[in-house]
Amino acid sequence: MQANNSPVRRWCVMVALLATSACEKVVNITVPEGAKQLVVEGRLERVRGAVTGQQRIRLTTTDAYFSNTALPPARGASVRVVEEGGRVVSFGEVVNEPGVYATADLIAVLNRRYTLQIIYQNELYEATDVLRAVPPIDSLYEPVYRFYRALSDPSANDGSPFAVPLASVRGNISNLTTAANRPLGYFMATEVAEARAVVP
Amino acid sequence: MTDNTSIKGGYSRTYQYLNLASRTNTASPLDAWEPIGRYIKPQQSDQLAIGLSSTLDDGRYEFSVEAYYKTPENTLDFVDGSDVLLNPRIETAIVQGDGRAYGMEWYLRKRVGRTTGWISYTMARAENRYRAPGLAGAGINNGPYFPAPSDKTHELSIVGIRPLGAKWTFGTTFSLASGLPVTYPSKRYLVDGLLLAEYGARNAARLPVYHRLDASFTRALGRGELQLGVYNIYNRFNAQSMAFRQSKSNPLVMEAVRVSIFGAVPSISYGLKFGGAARCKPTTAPCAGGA
Repeated sequence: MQANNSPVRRWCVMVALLATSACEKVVNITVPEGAKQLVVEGRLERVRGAVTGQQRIRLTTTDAYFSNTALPPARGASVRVVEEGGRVVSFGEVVNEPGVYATADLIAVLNRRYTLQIIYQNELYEATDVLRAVPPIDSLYEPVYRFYRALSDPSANDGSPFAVPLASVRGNISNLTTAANRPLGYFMATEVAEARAVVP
Repeated sequence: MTDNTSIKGGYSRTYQYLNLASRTNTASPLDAWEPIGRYIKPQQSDQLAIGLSSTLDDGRYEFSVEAYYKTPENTLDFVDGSDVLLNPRIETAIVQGDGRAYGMEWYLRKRVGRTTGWISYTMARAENRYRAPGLAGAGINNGPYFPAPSDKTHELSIVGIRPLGAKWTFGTTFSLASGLPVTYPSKRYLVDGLLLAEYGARNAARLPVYHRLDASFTRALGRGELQLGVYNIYNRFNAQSMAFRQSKSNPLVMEAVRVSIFGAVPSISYGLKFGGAARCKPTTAPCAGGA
């Protein structure tokens, strides 16, 4: 074996190829899906400067990670909100929106405690929140901020050295029937303020 | 035991006062090394090993087999969803547990002949557990043993060395190993228009199998050795980690992205040798050796 020019030239070509070759490639892998979990988007809203009894709560379930279909709605659930003081407001499933449960009869009041109760597939889920006054439009209610921060962090899993540890996001809803079958999402009672700015 | 067979056994206890907490599912230059302190206890590890080594066929071959069992204590890992990067109170993001690691190593070496080399194979398991009795959802994976980040079930390496002519020596190494444990998402869900992942158990999945072939040509040159080599000759993109993102063509579909660091890498190196056996004075008992 002689160190003649030809291997050297070949190496140079390889170096050039390496410099341009990508280190990321989309691959097919399979991941076990596990049991479906209930996902709650529950926000009771009090709109500042308006009186409305309209409230909507959306229930879906998890789906296989690489699924390419819309997230399945959680149909046929029994949804209600217990107001501080004991009044119970039932939410009915909206006719043409599977998984969306609504009422026109819940005017949210500041500093009042609300408890969400859902019965879905024979399991009882519950969460509580107190409606706080809206903060100035440019600041954020801190627990809410933390929840959204937790949401956005693990989704930034780009495989870089700066990626955060992978973990599930925990919301504030409990499954009182089977604790291990943890629901996802959140329940919050919140005041909503709108600000509009016209850009000339 | 006999003229060409020996057995050995060993026990050791080690303490480690600087602990590695790996932030991601891959080895990274930014892994946090945490000194022990008020909240972090030193890692302690007891290891028991026994081995047998033997020369065969009049010393043409050397063979050894070794088994070990190790019980690390106060290992550490991050709690789920902890915010670690530049966290001034990192101890709040760390949980300590204990582990068990065991394995067996086989080694066979051909010492004489034109082609020499060795084969080594290790079968091993390393597991940790992080329990938090009475605290639902605390600890990791609810408490049982699960694969440690370094757990490699199989590891094989084959090394061959053969002189080519009078000056050059050809050397090649083949490495094969099980993929490292990783945490993969198991399902997806949608909250307020954000597509999110729910993860499976920690370290429950594996990266693809790792393998690579290296080769080199070495010759003496001047006072040293010149080596021309290629690392990862068949340019396999071994997975360093797996990333997940929304597909660019359809943002409603997730895709897995294999992240690799190196394909094939050519190398040229020259090593100078200082000293060497000739320089050792006979009166100096332990000679520092050649290179």
